[in-house]
Amino acid sequence: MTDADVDVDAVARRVEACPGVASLSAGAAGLAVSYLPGKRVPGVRVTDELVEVHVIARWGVTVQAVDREVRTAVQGMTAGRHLDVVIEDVDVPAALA
Amino acid sequence: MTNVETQEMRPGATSGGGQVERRGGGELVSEDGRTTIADSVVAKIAGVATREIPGVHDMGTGTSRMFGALKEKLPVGSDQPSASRGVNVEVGERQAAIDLDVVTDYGVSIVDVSQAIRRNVVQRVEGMTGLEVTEVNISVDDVWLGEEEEPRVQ
Repeated sequence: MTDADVDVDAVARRVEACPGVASLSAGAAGLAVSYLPGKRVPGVRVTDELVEVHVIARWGVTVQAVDREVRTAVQGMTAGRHLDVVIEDVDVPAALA
Repeated sequence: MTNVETQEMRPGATSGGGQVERRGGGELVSEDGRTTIADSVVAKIAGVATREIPGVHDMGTGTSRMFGALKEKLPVGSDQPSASRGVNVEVGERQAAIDLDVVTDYGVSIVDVSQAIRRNVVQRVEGMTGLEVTEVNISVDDVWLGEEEEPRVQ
């Protein structure tokens, strides 16, 4: 009954649309996940106190910029909870890797 | 099955229809008659709602899972796994309490999955039956490690 008022799908869509975000990520342990009926939404986790957004940043974008983009994108969608943004990884282009 | 006692039940508050001992304000018990929902209906809805959550591998205690697997192999009867396996319910006139036995997948957060189960079961049962779900007790009986159940030796 905790995240009934946070639209996990909408949060995920907004975050994925951020230019500095390569993708959402469930994290190394795969625990940053929301379990919605019929599907998993990786990268978004809602607890009583906070909303966690776990992302893989795009190469060349500063962490601060990604953080700002995500915070702006999900503003007003966290139902009064704190927002934690976790940069899980950086998407290194194949040419550089 | 025994009825779940509700706080608002007023045994003396009958008005007409001598057999009706307990009347409530819920939509299921109206002036024109009452709607009864069988335990199996609530159990089936709760079972399906639980299985809808990713991270739930199976339902039922060890023995019921074993018998369920045997039953599915029998030529007679339905080949569908029983939707209400692993579900126990107590249904009253306006409220229901639900006990679930689940097996989760390895690697999921049992806390998060339980919360997701609880939320979905409450939403589905309340939405489809109009009963108030007073509690959803979840017992995680096993963790599914994959097809080869033997632990790997490093």
